[in-house]
Amino acid sequence: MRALEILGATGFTAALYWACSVVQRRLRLSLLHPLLLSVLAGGTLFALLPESWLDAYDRGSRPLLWLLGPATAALALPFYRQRAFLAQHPWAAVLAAASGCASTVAVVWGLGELLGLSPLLMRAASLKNVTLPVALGLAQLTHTQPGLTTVCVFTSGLVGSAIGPALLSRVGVRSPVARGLALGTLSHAIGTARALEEGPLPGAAGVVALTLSAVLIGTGAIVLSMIFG
Amino acid sequence: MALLRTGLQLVVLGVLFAACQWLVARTGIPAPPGLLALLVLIGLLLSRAVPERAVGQGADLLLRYLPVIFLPPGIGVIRELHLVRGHALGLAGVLLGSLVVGQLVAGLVGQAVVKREKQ
Repeated sequence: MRALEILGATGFTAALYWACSVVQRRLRLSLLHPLLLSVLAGGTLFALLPESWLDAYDRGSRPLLWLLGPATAALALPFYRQRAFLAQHPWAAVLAAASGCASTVAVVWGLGELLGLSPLLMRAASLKNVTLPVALGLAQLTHTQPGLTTVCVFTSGLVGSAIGPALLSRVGVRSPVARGLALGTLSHAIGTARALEEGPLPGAAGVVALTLSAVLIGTGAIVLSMIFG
Repeated sequence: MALLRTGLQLVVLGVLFAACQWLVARTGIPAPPGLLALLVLIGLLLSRAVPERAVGQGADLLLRYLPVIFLPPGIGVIRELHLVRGHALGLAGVLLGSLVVGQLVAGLVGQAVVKREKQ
């Protein structure tokens, strides 16, 4: 039964993602990321089915989920390959990522408090600019729901890469390095893919920024969880 | 041969993560094992204790298919929709506001530092 669940969940996940990738390519809409389409389609399907099906899918997808760990470690490679960029612009990279992370978290908690959001929603929103494999690890650490975290991370990636370039141009940020850093810090891998469209230098800056912001937000979350439990 | 090499590199990444999982469980370090494995691998690569060719192809393969691994937690959001009920607009406002401010601050700070570096 267990082997069947694993086989079924893995096959279903791969087939759903493949089908949604085909649909996205046909529609040619960059905002419709295949993963977003897959989440919408899969979520709708399981909402219509008895809950026991979702339970079985959860159990069967555990081995696939375990791969998130090695995949997080694999993020070291793109960062390592851009070490020359980091050596050239160490302060720009660190200060842009640190200020971007600090300001976005501050706005989440300030505005969230003002609008009466629950601490749970604010924790999920605080993880939005962390690349998903790290964000899911931090969600577990901070007792935040993984699905909610996934949605926040996605919103930041998709909306940030859609409005980011125009927003940065509007306030006069023309430096390719700074544009890549801003897109990578707030919109992780999706923003980095958008930065790569502007050129190799913004792309390299994006890779470095997404790793730095994952480490910075991760360190902050670990320290806070040590203090507050 | 290339397939075998990629498979072995995936095993290396898996062993590294499993070792970090063990370390976290053993010592009680309050850190996600994946983040720890990322930092350890960056350190190993930068110190050249592990050459890029020992993990490169395996890492590229995992990163290429990363979105597929994200699907199960993404679909799981349907169990959590009740948490957003009544707060969807507020959450959207917070996400958008914090995203815009963060992007502007990171961009402006990055540009100011790059200008200083050039001078």
